[in-house]
Amino acid sequence: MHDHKECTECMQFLELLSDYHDGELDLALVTKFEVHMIDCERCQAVVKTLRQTIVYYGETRCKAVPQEVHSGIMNAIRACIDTKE
Amino acid sequence: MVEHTNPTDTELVSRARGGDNDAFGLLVERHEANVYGLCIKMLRNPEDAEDCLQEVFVKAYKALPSFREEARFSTWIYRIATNACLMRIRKRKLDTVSLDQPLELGEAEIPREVADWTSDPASTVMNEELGGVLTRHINALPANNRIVFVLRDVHGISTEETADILGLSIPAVKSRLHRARLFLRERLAQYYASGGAVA
Repeated sequence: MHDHKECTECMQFLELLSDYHDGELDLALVTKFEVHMIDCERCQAVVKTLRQTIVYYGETRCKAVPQEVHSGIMNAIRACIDTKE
Repeated sequence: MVEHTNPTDTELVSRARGGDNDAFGLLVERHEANVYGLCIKMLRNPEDAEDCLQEVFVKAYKALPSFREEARFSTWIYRIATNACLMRIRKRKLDTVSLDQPLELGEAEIPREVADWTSDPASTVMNEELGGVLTRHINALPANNRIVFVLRDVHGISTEETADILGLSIPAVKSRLHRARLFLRERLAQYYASGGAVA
């Protein structure tokens, strides 16, 4: 395995990692990156763990608010309406 | 009367602007979880998030007559919410939040550890320990990077809409997102490398 910290290609791809993940890299760079990764286990791992990090955080999205929180909003809006009227 | 149709946000906004408060209530129901989730992640505690959430919807209700319908309601409400969160953070001096200030690149270096923890079967299931770790690390992000990460990767909003919500350029959004992602990936990698196994 080559020295990941000293490798200029690894450095370059780390800077492009988000664009690679989001599918926003030029095809030529994607190809270059993927050829590089064949022999770079560390870059493979970085790509996989970045993807997993994003999946984990996506799972933390709030799905619903507690009923009392919803009631608090509606009460605040009613107070606003009452003031206006 | 039971409503059998599923009105669009635009229809609800139009009705609400005409004085139909129930329509505004439906908009609240539709968007409150997103706004609450954003407030929790930005303000770091449920009480502040709840206060901010009320503030956001009251502001939206009051500002509805000036809402320009070429924008999506969701974009508009996120914009109000992000402004409200950042104002509160500025007031409380929890973070440095200038959206124009240069970013610190501290974590944007070659990762020290790249063990592949994605193959850990336990890691596919969110649990309390992992949830706590995720919260601690996202809280460690500077607010200006955190808000971009929350909008893009937690809420799944596009780069273009995130830029619109925050009043940033697309390259600025991408740059902040990239740094936030590297920071969080590195922190999680360290967590796994240090034996913080998820039971």
